[in-house]
Formats: sequence, C-alpha cells, structure tokens
Amino acid sequence: MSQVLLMFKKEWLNFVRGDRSVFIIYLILVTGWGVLIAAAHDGGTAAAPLWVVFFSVIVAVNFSSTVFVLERMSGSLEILLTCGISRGAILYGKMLFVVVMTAAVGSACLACAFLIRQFLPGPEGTPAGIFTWRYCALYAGATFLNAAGSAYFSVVLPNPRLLHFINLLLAGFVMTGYSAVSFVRPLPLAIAAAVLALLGVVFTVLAKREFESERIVKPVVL
Amino acid sequence: MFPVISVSGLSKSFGEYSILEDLSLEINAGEVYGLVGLNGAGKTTLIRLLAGVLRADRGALAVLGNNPWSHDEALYRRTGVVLEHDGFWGNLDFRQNMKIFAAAKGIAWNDARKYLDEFWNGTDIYGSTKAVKFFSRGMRMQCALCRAFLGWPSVYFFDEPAVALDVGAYDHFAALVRRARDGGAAVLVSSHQLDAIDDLAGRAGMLRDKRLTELSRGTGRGEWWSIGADRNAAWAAVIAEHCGCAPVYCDNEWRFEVADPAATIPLIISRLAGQGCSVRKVAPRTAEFSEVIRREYRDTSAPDSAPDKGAAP
Repeated sequence: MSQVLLMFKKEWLNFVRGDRSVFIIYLILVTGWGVLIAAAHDGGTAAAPLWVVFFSVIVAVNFSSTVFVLERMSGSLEILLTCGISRGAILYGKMLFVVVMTAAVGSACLACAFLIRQFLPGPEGTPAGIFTWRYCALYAGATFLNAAGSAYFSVVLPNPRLLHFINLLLAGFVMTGYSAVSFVRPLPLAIAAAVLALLGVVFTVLAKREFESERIVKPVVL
Repeated sequence: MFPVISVSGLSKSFGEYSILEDLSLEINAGEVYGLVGLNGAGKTTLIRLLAGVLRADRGALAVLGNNPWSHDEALYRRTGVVLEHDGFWGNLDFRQNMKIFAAAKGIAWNDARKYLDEFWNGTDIYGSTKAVKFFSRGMRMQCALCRAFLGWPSVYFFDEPAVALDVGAYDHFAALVRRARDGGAAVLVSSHQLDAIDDLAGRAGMLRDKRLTELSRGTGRGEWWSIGADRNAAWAAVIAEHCGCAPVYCDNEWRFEVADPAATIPLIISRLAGQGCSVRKVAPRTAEFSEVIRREYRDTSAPDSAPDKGAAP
C-alpha cells in the first residue's frame, strides 16, 4: 500500500508542479459542463446522466494521458520498473491518482451544476437532485472504468491518441445499453453505475496483465 | 569471487527480428565489464534483459542468483540502472525526484541526503532547485547516475553513461564506479566511448552477429607495438602486409599486433624508410581495449578498405 501511495504522491507532485494553464482549462471545463448538466437535469432520467458520464471520460482520459502515455513516452516508466516498486503498485498508484483527480474535478462540476440550479431553477423548478448519490455513483463507476480502460488501452492500442475515443466508446456502449433497456423497462441508475464499475474491474485485471508483460515498455508511436 | 551476473544460452528476438542468439556471459563481484558493439548490435537489449525490463525468449539469466524477470523488488533495490532515458520527472526538482527514488528503494531520506552530501556536493545538480526539465542533457545524465549509485547497490547496468558528461562529471562518474567495484559490486558498462571502456573495464566483450565475443588486451596473435609516423594509407598497407592484420592509427602513431617482432619490426622500418616515411619512434606497448575493438570493428565491417579507416570505428 505504501508503494501505491508513493506512486500517487509522485503523480500528484508532478501534476501540481506542472503547467499552471491546465488549472484554468479545468476551471472552464467545470463551469461549462456544470451548466450543461444543470440544463439537462430533469430528475435523472434523460440526458443529464450522459453528460455526467461523458464528463468523466474527458477528465479521466486527460489525466490518464499524462500518467500512462506520457510516462511511457518519456522513458521514465522503464526506470520506475527497475527501482524497486512493484508493477502492481505502479498500476494501482496511477489509477488511484486518475480516480481521485477525476472525482475531485467531477465533484466540483456537480457542485457547480447544483449551484446553478439553486439560483436559476429550471421550468419545473426542482433544484434538488443533482448532487445525489445516483449521479455520484454513476460518475464514480464511469471514472473507475475510464481509469482502468486507459491503463489497459494505453498499452495495447497501437496509437495512444485513440485513448479518448475508445473510452468514449466504452462508456457510450454501456449507457446506450442502459437507455435501451430502460426504454422497455425503467431501471435504476445504480444499475448503469454497477455495470460501469464491473467493466472497470475487468479492465483492471487486463491492465495488470499488460503491466506484468514486456509490452509495457514497447515504444509509443503517436 | 562468484558470478553476480550469469547468462547462458540467451536468445531474444522482437517479432521476426532476432537480436541475440545463444549468448553467454559471466561477471563476477568486484569486476567492471565493458560492453561494445556497433549500433543495433543488441547492447541495450542485453542491458534491458538483465535489468528485468524485457523477458528472454530462451536461456538462463541470473542476477545475484535471481531471474531479473521475476519482478523481485528486493533484487531491483540492489541494482543500479542507467538506461537510455534518465527517468527523472521534469516538473520536479532534483531533490524531489531523489526523495521518490529513495522511498522506492526503501532508503530513508536522511541516509539519501547523507549520500548526496558526501558524494554529490559540488556538482552542478547538488544545489539546484529548478525543475529537472530545465536541466541540460549532461546534468540529467548526472541525475541518472546519482540515482543509480543511491544506496550503493551490488550490481550496476550502465547504458551509455558517459554520453553528454563533461570532463569533471566523467571523472566523478569514474571515481564512483571504482568505489563500487572496490566495494565488491559487479558493473556492466555499455558504451561507444572506447576511452571510457579502456578507463573503467577490466574485461570487455563485443556484441557481433547476435553473440558476445570476449575481448582481451592481447588477442594471442603476438605483441603490441607502435610506430610513430604520419597518417598515410601507404604506411598502413606496409604494416598490414608484414603483420597480417590492419594497424590502428591513434595519437599520431600506428599500433599493431605482430607475431614475431624481432624479425618483423626491422623489416617494417626499413620498408617504411624506403618509401620515404619519417619514423619518429618505435616501441612495444600494452594494447588498450579501444585498439582491439577498433581492429575488431574493422575486421568485421570493411576488411578491404581497412588501413585508411583505422581510427574511426
């Protein structure tokens, strides 16, 4: 566990000491997406869950690109593999960072949406319900899937620039399936969250296998 | 002494490209082994295999008695590695990076700081507080070396460690290698800088045709001699004709191995003088690895045009 936390610390330091402009971009993203979710929210049955999930895709894959792809491109992953940290700890530490950071940005976004609906209620006049466990669970499930999916696909994809698309496809696939089934028989949003999280577990296992193989150090071509 | 690094029957290929075949190597404790070879010969692949980054297709590898591919963290902590990239995170400064590496190796920061104070005080990187991404290439290589020696491991793998180092930084690196060697560590140094191999290595091997050929300072063909004269293809041809091998031109003299110096050297001198060559000096000498390597390169790559290309492996 201490090795996982060490990896998390390393990613955190590298992030906070990085380019400051990225914070401005996240601020804009949080505000803009908060408006979208607030506008789409009508009790959690229509478009708002999709905005929640896709926001997770955007944020999680952004962090993943740095911690998984850039680390391989810069060559520092090879050194990490030889300096006494287990490969599992490297993977889980990086995933933990992506999940925590995406959760933090997502919380800010949902809080922003909540505030917007508090002060500018929609036509139905129901400001409550955005910052609920349903959206939080959905966002957490999607975030876990995106972190695990990014870890796996950053190794197996011939071009890691496709990371955003493949994660979008995965989340989109689950949400489309959920919407289709819900059309026939309404399902609680927790089911979608659970499916996303379950897929996350599957991709974590697959990513662990990739990290144990020598494919993890094959050259990255953009 | 026991073999700290032991390799036998090692083969490695990437897809259809075979890089190493049936390679064997042993390096003992307290030994520095120089690894040379042309570009693409497989030096980096061999080091990455030994460092546990790559997995061998066939053969037995043991570093400190363990298979490096076993991903044994305890083994990694006893290994110092410098690969192609320095591995430092650019946004962090030197000490922040070192703190993370020290923690990864299970070394308390106080001990790591003592190591920095004792061995790196006075270097370019020691007091630097700027992000590593602003470091020069030489400084980044010093960072990588500093990380490799942290905790004084029992085994070292250096892939082109002298690249970008200035004279002072190289001397510092050489002193650390000698200290590690004297402490009983096994060191594998891969480099195109033959002076570094001469300077550091007690043994050397050349990767060629996917295999490792052990080099010795004498090849067994005879004694090494040098003739001080200008660089001229005609003189090289004369020496080659009498010695049976192409000479190497280095430091304003021709160096070559000769089987029967008592009979051959006077003949060479008289032939050279007869062709108008001004011979400045004639002396026996101990061969450096660099000379042996240069000749091996030349024997392999351009046997017909060898004499004129002596000094440029």
